[in-house]
Formats: sequence, structure tokens, C-alpha cells
Amino acid sequence: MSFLQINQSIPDLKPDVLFNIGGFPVTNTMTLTWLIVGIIIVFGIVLRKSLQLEAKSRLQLMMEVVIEAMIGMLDQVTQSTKKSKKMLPIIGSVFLFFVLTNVITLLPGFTSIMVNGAPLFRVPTTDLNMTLALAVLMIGLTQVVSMKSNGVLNHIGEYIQVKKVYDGFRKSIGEGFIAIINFAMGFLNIIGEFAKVISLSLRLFGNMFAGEVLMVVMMSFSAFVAPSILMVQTLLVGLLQAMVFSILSAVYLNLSFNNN
Amino acid sequence: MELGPEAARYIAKSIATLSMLGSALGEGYLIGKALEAVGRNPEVSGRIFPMMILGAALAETSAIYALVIALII
Repeated sequence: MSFLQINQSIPDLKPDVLFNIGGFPVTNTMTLTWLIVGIIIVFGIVLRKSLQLEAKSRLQLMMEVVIEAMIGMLDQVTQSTKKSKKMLPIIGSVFLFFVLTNVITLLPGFTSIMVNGAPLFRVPTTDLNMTLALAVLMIGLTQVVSMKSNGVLNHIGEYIQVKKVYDGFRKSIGEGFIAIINFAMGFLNIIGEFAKVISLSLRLFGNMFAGEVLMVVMMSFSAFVAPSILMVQTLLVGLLQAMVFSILSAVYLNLSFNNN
Repeated sequence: MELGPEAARYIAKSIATLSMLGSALGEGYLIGKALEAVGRNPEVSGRIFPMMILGAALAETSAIYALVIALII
């Protein structure tokens, strides 16, 4: 029964380097990232040119439905349409990017184009560098937004609560000691910010990479019919994780707006 | 009987994946509670469902950590 089985090696954690530009390695996840970014930009420009006040084209109607749905989703997080419209450009584009990257694996043969013994394209979210970069970007954005809306000193005061200890001791000694405990908790908040970055990036990476590994295992078990079930699961998980990443970053952004 | 480093690696992998048990329990509890809430008043199911998905993804995090660790070992 060996004709039913396809033996592949489990994909490596780090992507293959295709070529170097001035000592800067270009990997196969990067090529697909730039391709998808290009697709989104071209799509945006084409849509922008044919934009009408009373939509007649199917493309515009479809995108209007998508954007309405995204605003509805953000409204549940922020509880105000004004805020969600403010957040939509960054959260929405991250969401669309991840949906495209996670779904593009299902195109047959797309990740099998070989160049110099390495595949030309590999799904960007199966590379920890990619998800880590976006998680750092999103959490960095929450820091900047918090500094802008609360002031730089107040923002740093959230983590190193010297002022609150001073205020506490001026009121009474008991409140001063509570403030000292809060002072220690403030340092935990710093660790909490790093934990946010790690959990955001590892969640997306782990889900997508596990999908690839499961596919390889399933192929070595039975290469017909059975992987199709896993492909449907990959599609669902890809959409779900894109949603989870964008909603969680919306939640963090919303918190950084609110805490004044 | 003597165990080589390879055997120790596989044992470590199996121990790391054991922590998925907690994640599975948490997710089952969460989804059960969400279904209970939907059963009590079905008209809010549209609002409960996205929250449930978000909670399930958060509960899944520790399992994903375990998986990544098991893959790295």
C-alpha cells in the first residue's frame, strides 16, 4: 500500500534562504510576504480608481460588506463606532493580510515551485520572525498611543509608580504600604507587556506551523482523501487565527486609549 | 537497560505535551458555559459567539506553547 503514502520531511523551523542582497538574506517567507503586500496594494489602487458613491461594481459592494463586518466586530470591543473607525485602518489591514497569507496555502501547487532546491514561497505565518515582527509592531503601537493620549510621564508612571507611593504616604501610612505593593506590581506590568508580544506571536505561529506538520504526518499515513479534511481545518484555523490576532490587538489598543 | 539521549528527547516531548490536558479542560468548560448561556436566552447568541471564540483562542495558548516546545526539543 505504499503508493497511498507520500513521505516528506517535517518542515524546518527556520525558512530557507533564497539569495542575499548585500549581506541581507532573503528567505522564501519574505518573497511571499512581499507578493501578498503587492497584491493588497494593487487591489487597493484598482478599487480606489473605480470608487463610486452609489456602488455598482461587485468588487466595491463586496469590500463594503467586508468593512461593515469589520467595523461591527470592532464595535463589540470598543463600544463606540467613532473609535472603531479610528482603529480600522491598522486592524483591518492586519486582518486582511493574515487572511490572505493563511488562505493562500490552499492554492494547489503554489508552495511547490522550487528554486535551487528550496521552495520559492512558504507561508509567512509559519515563520516566527514574521509573526513576532507584527506582534512587536502592534504592542509598540499601543505604547505610543498610550503615551499620546495619557502623556509620556503618566504612561511611564503606570509601570514605575513612584508618584503613587508618594501620594499614598501623604494620605496615611496604611495606604502608603498598599502603594508599595502596587509599586512592585508595576514591574510585573513590564513583564506583562513582553508576555503579550510572546503570546500574540506564538499563538499565530504555533497554529499555522502545527497545521503544516499535521499535513506532513497525514500524507505519510494516507495521501488521498484524508488530507482534505485537514485542509478544511487549515482554512478554518487560518481565518480564526487572523480574527483572533486582530481582535486581541484591538483590545490592547482600546485599553491603551482608556486608561487615563 | 540504558536510555540514550534520543530516548530522553522523546520522553521530554511527551511530558511537554501533557500540559495540553489543562487547555482541553478549560476549553470544554468555556464552550459548555457559552452553550448554556445561549440555551438560556438564544437572542444574544450573536454576541456570545465571538467572545467564546476569543476565549477559546486564549485558553488554547498554553497548548500552543506546549506544542512549540515539543517541536523545538
